[in-house]
Amino acid sequence: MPPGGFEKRKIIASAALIAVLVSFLVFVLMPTIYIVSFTFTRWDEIYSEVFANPIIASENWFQVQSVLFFSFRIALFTIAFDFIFGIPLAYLLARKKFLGKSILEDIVTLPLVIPTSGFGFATLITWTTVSGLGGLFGFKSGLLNLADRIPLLNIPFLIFVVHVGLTLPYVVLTIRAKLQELDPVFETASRTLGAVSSTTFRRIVFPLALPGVFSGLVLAFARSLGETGATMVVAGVSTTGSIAIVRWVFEFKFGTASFLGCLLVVIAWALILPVEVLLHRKHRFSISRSPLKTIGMEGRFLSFEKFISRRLYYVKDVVSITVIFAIVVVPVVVVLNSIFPYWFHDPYTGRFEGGVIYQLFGPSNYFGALSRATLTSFTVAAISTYIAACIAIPLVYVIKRYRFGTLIRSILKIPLIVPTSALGLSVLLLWGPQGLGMVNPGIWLIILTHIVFSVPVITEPTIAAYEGPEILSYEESARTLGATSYDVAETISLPLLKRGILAGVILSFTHSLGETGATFIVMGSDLTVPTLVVNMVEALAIPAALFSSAYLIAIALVLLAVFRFLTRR
Amino acid sequence: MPDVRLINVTKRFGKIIAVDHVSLGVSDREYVTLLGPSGCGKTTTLRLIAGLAQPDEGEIYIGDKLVTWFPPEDREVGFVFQNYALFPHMNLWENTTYGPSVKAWEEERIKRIANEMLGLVRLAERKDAFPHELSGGMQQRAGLARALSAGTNLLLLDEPLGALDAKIRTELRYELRRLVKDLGLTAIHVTHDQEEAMTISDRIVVMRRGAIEQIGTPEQLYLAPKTPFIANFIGESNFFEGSMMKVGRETSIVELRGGLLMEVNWTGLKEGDRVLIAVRPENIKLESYAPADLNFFPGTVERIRFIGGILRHEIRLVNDDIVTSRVPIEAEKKFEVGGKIAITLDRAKVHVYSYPKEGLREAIRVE
Repeated sequence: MPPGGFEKRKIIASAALIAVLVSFLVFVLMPTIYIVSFTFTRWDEIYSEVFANPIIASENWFQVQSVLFFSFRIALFTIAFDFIFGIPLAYLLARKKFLGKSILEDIVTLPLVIPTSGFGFATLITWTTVSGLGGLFGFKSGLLNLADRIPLLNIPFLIFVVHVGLTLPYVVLTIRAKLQELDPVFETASRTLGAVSSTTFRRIVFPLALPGVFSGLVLAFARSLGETGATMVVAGVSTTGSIAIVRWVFEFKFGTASFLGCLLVVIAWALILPVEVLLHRKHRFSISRSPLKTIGMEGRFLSFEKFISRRLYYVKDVVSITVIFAIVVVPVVVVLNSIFPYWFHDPYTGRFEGGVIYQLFGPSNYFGALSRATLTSFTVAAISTYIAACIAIPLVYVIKRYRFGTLIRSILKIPLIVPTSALGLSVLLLWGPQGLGMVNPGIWLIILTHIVFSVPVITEPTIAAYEGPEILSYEESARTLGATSYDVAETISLPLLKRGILAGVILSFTHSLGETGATFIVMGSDLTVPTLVVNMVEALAIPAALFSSAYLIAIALVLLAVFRFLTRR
Repeated sequence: MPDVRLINVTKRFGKIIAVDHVSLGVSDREYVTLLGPSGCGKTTTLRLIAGLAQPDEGEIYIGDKLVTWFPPEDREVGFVFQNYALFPHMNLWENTTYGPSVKAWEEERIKRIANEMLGLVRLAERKDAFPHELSGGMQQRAGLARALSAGTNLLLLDEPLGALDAKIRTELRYELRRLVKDLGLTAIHVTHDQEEAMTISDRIVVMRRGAIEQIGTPEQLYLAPKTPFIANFIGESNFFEGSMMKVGRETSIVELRGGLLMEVNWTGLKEGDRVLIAVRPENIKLESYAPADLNFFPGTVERIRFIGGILRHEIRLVNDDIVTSRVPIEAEKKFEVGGKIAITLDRAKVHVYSYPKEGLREAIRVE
C-alpha cells in the first residue's frame, strides 16, 4: 500500500470519528445535561423564584420537596413490588421451557412498546369505570375511585399500578439476561449437594445474579421517578416530580421547573453511574455467607425452604403471572373491548353525545385532531429514528473500538432514565426561545427531543448483537484473509449486526410514537397522538380517548409483532 | 450399602432416544466407568442416576430405595462436574461446607468433615482461596472434596478429568481411584477416553447409541470384544472382510479378499456366511517375505513410525488391504519402508464376527 493512501485513510478515519463524536455531543449529550448547567448559570433567578419569592417566600421549595418525596416513595414501593414479582418471572423465562413461554415474553415486553398515556388510560378505565373490572364483577360503578390510596403505603393505587406495569419489564428483562449468562451447572451442583430449589436460589442463584438484580432495580427506580405520560392520565390531583415539571412549565415557573428537573437528572445520574462501575468490574460483589447464619436463623429457614420447595413450588409462578396479567393484559383487553359498546352511544345513559362516533365527527371533531396528530407522530418517529440511526450506528463502532467507548456507553444510559419531562424541558431550554432561540416549540423541537433518547434506544440492541463472541472472530478472520477494516465493516460486521440494528430502529420508532412526557413540553401546538390522549382525558372526552388509546395500542401491538418477527432466532 | 440398579431405563428428548432400555447393576464399593463416544447416552444415564433428569420409563434404585422420582437433593449422591462448577462467589472452605450446611448439620461436624476432605485432596492450606485463583487440577480436587463432604458413599463423576491438561489428567486418575478405594466408595465415572476408563475402572460399561454394547472388566473388553465396535473402540484393531469357506470341527477356513486364506477357531457360523475378523496390531507378527499360505500373508512395508518403545508398521498386503502391526523396538528382525514382508496370525488371537448388516464402516463408526 502506498504511504499516501494510508495518510488519506487516516485523515478520513479521524474526520469520521470527529463527526460522530460531535453529533453525539450536540444531539444527545448537550440536550441531556443542559438543564444542569442552566440551573447553575441562572442560579440567581432560580434562587429568587424557588427560595426567596417576594410573595410566597420559599413555598416553591416546599413544593419541590414534597413532590420529590412523593415520587421517591412511589418509586421505592414500586421496585419493592417489582423485586418480589419480577424475580420469579425472570427465573421462569430464563430457565424453564413451557407452553406459552413466548406469549409470556410478549406480555412482559408489551409495556416497553405501548404508548404510556394509552397504557395509563387503559389502567384508568379498567379500575375506575364500570366498563372495566367493576362491570365484570357486577358493580354499578368502577372497582375504585381515582383518588383511592393503598392503605399503609399511602400511595394512589392507580399510580402504583401504572408504575409497576411500566417498570416490571426492566427488572424482569435485566435479571433474565443475567440469569441466562449464568451457567445452570451451579444450580445443579447445589442440588446434588443436598439443597432444595429455594435454598439453591437463596444461596447460589441470587448472589450470583445480584449485579443483574441491582441494575434492574436501579433502572426501574429511575423509570418510576421519571414516568410522566401514564402518570399524567391517572394522577388526578396527585403530583409527582415529573408531572410537576410539566405543570410548572405551563404556569411559566421555569425556574422552579428547571431546578426540579436538574435535581431529577442529577439523581438519575448518581443512581446509574455506580451501577455501571460495579457491573464492569471483574470481581463480583456477592454474599457468600448466608446472613441468616450470623443471626442464627439458618436452620429454621432451611426447613421452611424445604417446605415451600415441596409444597408451594408453583405458587410463586402462578401469582407472578397473575399479577402481570392483571396489570398489563387486562387493561389492554378492556380498552380494545370497550370501544364497541361505546361506538354509537353511551351504553349506560344511551346519549349519543357519549358515543365514539359523535365525539370523533361531531362538533369537537376529534377525528380531525387525531388525523393531524397521527401525521405528526409518524413524521416525528420517522425523522427522529432516521437521524438517530445515522448517529447511533457509527457510534456503536466508536464504542467498541476506542477505550473511551465505555464512558460513552454509560452516558448513553442517561437519556433513558432521566425523567422525560425534565429531558423535554432541557431541550426546550437549550434550543428554544429562552436558550439559543434556534427552534420554536413544535414538530422540529419534538424531533430534536426524540433524537436524544432514540440514539441510546438504537445503540443498546446493536451493541448486544455485537457482543456475541462470534462477530469479533469473524472480523479477525476476515482481516487475516486480507480485508481492510472498511471492507470488514461492510461485508462482515454490518450484515451480522443487521438484526440488532433493525430491532433498535423499531424500538426507537415505537418509543417515539408513544413518548408523552417530553413531547408535552416541547410540542407547542403540534400535538402527537399520546399527548392528544392526555388532552382528551383532561377534557373528559372519554369515548374519544378510548378510541385513541385503542388505536395507539393497536399500532404498538403491530409493531411488537414486527419486532418479534425480526428478532426471532 | 450404595449399590445402584437401573431397570429398563429409557429417556427421550423429543424424538431422540438418549437412553434406550438400559439395565445396569453397580455393586457396593465398585468403580464403574460409563464409556462411549459423545452422544451415546452415558452422561444422560449419569444424570438420571443423580436425579438431574427423570426417565420416561424404568426404575432406578440406590441401595434398596426406589429413587426414580426423587429430586437430586434427596438422593445422597456426590456429583463431580467436568468444569468443576465450584461456586465462584465462595472460597474453598465455603464451597466445601456448603453441602453439610444446607443439610443443617452441627457446626462441629461440618468443620471436622470439611477439614478431613480438604486434607484428603491436599488443599487444606488453600481453603481461603477462591476458585478462580486455583489451577484446573486443584479446582477439580476441590470439587471432589465438596462432593465428598456432603456425606455420600456414591460418587458420580461426569468427565471429571476432561477439562484438564494431559499430564495432570493422568496423575489425577490414579489419585481418584486411590481415594475412592481408600474411602470405600461406590463410583460411577463417565468418560469418552478409553485409556482413562481402562486404567481407572473395576468394570467398564461401553455405551453406544443409547444402549449398552458390552459390560466387562478392562481385560475382558480388550481380550474378548463382543462386537466389532468394541474391538475398534477399545484399543485398536485391524479388520479383514471375508466369507466362511470351510467349517470344520474345531477350526474353520475363511477366505479373505484376493483369495488369502485364514484359519480361525470354530464359531458357529455356516459355510458361505460373510464374516468380519478383527486382529489387534500387537497380534500381527512380522516375518521375512515368502509366498502366501494359510495365516501367512505377504505384503510391502508402507510406513514405519516410532511411538515410544514401539515400532508401528503399516503394511499393504497383496490383496491391497492395509494392516497395522506393533512390535517392540528391540525386535530381532528389522524392516525397511518399501521392503517386502509377510505377516502371520495366531488363530487363537483373532476375533470373528458375523458380517454386520449395516457394513463395516457403519458398525464401527464412533459418532
